[in-house]
Amino acid sequence: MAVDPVSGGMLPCGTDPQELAEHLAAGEPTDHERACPHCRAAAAETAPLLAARDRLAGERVTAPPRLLDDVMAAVRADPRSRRAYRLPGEEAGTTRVRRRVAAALLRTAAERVPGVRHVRVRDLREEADGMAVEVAAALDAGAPIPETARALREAVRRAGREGLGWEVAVVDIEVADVRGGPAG
Amino acid sequence: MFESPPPSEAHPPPRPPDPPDSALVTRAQDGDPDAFEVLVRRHQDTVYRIALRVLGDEGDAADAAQEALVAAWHRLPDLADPVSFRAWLYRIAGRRALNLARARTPEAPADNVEAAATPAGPEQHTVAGDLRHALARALAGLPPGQRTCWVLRELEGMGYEEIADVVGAGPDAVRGRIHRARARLVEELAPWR
Repeated sequence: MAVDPVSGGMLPCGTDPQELAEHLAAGEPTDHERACPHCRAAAAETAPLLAARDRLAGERVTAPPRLLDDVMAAVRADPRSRRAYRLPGEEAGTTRVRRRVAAALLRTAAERVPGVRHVRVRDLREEADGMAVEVAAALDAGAPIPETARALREAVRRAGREGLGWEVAVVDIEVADVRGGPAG
Repeated sequence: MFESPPPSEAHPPPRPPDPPDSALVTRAQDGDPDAFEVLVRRHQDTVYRIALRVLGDEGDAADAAQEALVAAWHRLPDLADPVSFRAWLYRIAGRRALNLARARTPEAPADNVEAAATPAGPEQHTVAGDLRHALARALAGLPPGQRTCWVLRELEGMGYEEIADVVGAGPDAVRGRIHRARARLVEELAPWR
């Protein structure tokens, strides 16, 4: 009869019914499972489920039209989208840069540092003594972490100063990942 | 020599119309909502489909899909590898859907509790002959944890480790849940043998 999921009992031929079910679900029964009458009987029980599954999986599902608008309304209202930073300057009028512009500028500078593979700007804060920048970095395997972090910090400070006129007071770095190697 | 030459009129540089996900993810991590919008357009159908299969209700699925996509935006700065965005997003979708499914079925929170659903009687089968609807009905009768594991494995093709991350259980527990779900579904669909 039906495969008993609790007892963990084997089929009379010694086949684990759970493994058989997994092979059938993947469409890859073994030669034994194809030929053995016990396995074939168990497979016959599973056949309607697999047919129904394939039908369900083949149906095209489309998101409701409002989903995109609702999601993007929330995303555009988020500070990471809206935030703009005022640049220092004495002349009349103000200059503001969007968070994404400042982040991209700092990130690009950081990613030019040898040994740095990928950088995310996690936070940009205006503090009393200047900007505080928080980044997470993935480094190449083998890159010396203290030296690389020092160079990364200096690259961010320089990009902030030269690209944005910022005094970058603090660059906090989290080495979040080490990947591949200089070649990979 | 060291500068790239200006693009000539005769040979405009080929502009790839579709930047890869990873490039859009990097821009969205900087805080660019337009980049994120492209990602939403690309993946919203799958996110919604995962939610719909787990929840079985279009309204609930729309809610869960919206929650998942907005949560993805907020958590994007935590995503270390932009290349893994898609799998990461689908895991968030599965998790949100499961949470909502559990909230919808407070009476049977534990997966080892036999679900209250009665097996479909013959009268329900007469209209049917429709295997696909019988499966949907049988799925609705499974505990949310079992249903989620089965859906993610059998309909979405996720691996055990990935599903384990979604449901917050070990891979062996996931495998057991899928097996129990499969056994129940096989029983429910017995009239179609």
